[in-house]
Amino acid sequence: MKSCKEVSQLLASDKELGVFDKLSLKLHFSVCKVCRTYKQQQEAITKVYKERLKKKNTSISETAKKVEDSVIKKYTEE
Amino acid sequence: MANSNKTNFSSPEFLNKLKDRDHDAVESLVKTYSSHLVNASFGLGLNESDAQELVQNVWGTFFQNIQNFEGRSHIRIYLFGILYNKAKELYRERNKHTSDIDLNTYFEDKFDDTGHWALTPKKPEEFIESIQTSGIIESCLNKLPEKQRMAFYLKEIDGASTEEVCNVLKVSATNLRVILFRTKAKLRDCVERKMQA
Repeated sequence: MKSCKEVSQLLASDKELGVFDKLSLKLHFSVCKVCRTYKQQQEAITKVYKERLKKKNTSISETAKKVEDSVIKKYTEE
Repeated sequence: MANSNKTNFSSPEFLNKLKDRDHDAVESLVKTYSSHLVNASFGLGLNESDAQELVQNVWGTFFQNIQNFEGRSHIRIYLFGILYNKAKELYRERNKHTSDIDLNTYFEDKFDDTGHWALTPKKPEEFIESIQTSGIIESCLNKLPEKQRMAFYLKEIDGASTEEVCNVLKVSATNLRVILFRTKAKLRDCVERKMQA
């Protein structure tokens, strides 16, 4: 079986992954707790960032509204 | 996450209306995609006024080039492509990009001689607690090169398909996997470092 380092190197490599590569990745992650934890940490970052972005919803829709008004005016009245 | 419940934005009829600057057509397109584009700008780390300016520029470029748009890619992807290029210009102007990770050093530092991880990572729960209430993720994201940040936003946050992201960034699927590997590894490392600081 591939080591943790080899698994990471495979993911970072420019070569196209074949069926065998994908299987060996799956196998490694299914038995290696440390690699899974790293992956879960990365997923946690994504999840938390999504939540933090959602909290900005009000200013996102306010900004969008400002853009919409000026863009519609500009590109329909030329 | 295209909003396609009402108008088919890809139809030639709609495109012709847009080219004629038909008020209803312009309005429905702009109202459908402005919030997506602003959301992406915030997601890339811009503040309100920069996001507003960026998205206005995206629409400017879109309408300037509408006569040449043949509808070969979906309008949403086309718009994100413009956003990506404009955001790159903006960051180049501000000189904010930093160097990419050196993978050789990365592999040497992270793993021991047997190929195992050199350090034990924190449990994800502990990890989450310390990033929820601080701006750590944002400040780490801001250090990423534009391509990585855009790949991360589109694939992980927006939930766009691999094909769509490849189309916006003009990279192959293999390239995208490598970009995302680098991005997520770098983000995780940065977040961990800042948590301990």
